[in-house]
Amino acid sequence: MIGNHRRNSFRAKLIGVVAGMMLLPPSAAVAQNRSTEQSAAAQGSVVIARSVGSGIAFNILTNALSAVFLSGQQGDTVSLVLPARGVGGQFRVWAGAPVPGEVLVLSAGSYSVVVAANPAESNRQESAHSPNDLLFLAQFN
Amino acid sequence: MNKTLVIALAATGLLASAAPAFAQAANTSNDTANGSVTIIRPLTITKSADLVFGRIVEPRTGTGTVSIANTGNSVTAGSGAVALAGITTSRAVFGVSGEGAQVVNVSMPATFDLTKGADSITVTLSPDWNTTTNQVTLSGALAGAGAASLNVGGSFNLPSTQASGAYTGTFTVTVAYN
Repeated sequence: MIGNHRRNSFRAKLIGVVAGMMLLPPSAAVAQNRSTEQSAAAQGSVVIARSVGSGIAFNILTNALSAVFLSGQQGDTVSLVLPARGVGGQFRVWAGAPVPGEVLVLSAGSYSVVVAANPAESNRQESAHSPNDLLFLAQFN
Repeated sequence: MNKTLVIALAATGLLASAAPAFAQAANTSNDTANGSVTIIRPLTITKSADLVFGRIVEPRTGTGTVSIANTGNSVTAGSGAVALAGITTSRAVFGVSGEGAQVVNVSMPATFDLTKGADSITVTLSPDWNTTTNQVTLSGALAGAGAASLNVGGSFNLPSTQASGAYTGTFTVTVAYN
């Protein structure tokens, strides 16, 4: 008799709990909030580039510029202003091969452009005494 | 004598039957309740600008800093990092519209990641609303349209060891009526 009473009491509580869960106000509140919430996404972006630079190799014994260097990363394109021939044709510029145009694509992080004597000219040494004759500009694109 | 008694009893009966009616009338009370509802416009949020830092040259050594304020679109780089020109940079901008003069709760993560494959950069977001209450009040008045603009800047540290390349990521801003 007492056992049945406890069992019935437990069932009643269980039904009450289930009914309470079904009617739980917070669930309605959550649903309401969701229906009134609005979202929008923004994209963030950045392009990180390695620092770049350029330098020259200058022979103090011959007082001649022998090469220019570009420091960047493989694939960088560099707009280069460097005369393929010096003033009076005293020298020529090589980048593994003669510079074909004004834009180079770096094949490595460090790239050298050789300034070599023009074999057809014999007066390079003399002309090299005037380094101001060489204009060199490099701009990484 | 008998007639008098009958009349008296009848009168008493009338009184007895009438008494509950009188008592009922005295215990009845009326009042009115007002019904009301405030209809407000749906809330919408629309992104009008992304958070674009542009091209940044990493420092040769150490750790640089990069930031965009929530009040402008210029990138500030320091401690060895350099911001390059050529790409239009911007803070993130969102437009919120709804019912005028209503308070809106705003939620947004404090940080988000820009990623490139396995590499990532953590950006700390800097919104222009009160981050203590995380609430904004729409312009205008009730029964009219209201709007608010949400601006989000950001900043990150850029070590010299960061892999170069293009990094992207997204973050979400959510608004809800208070």
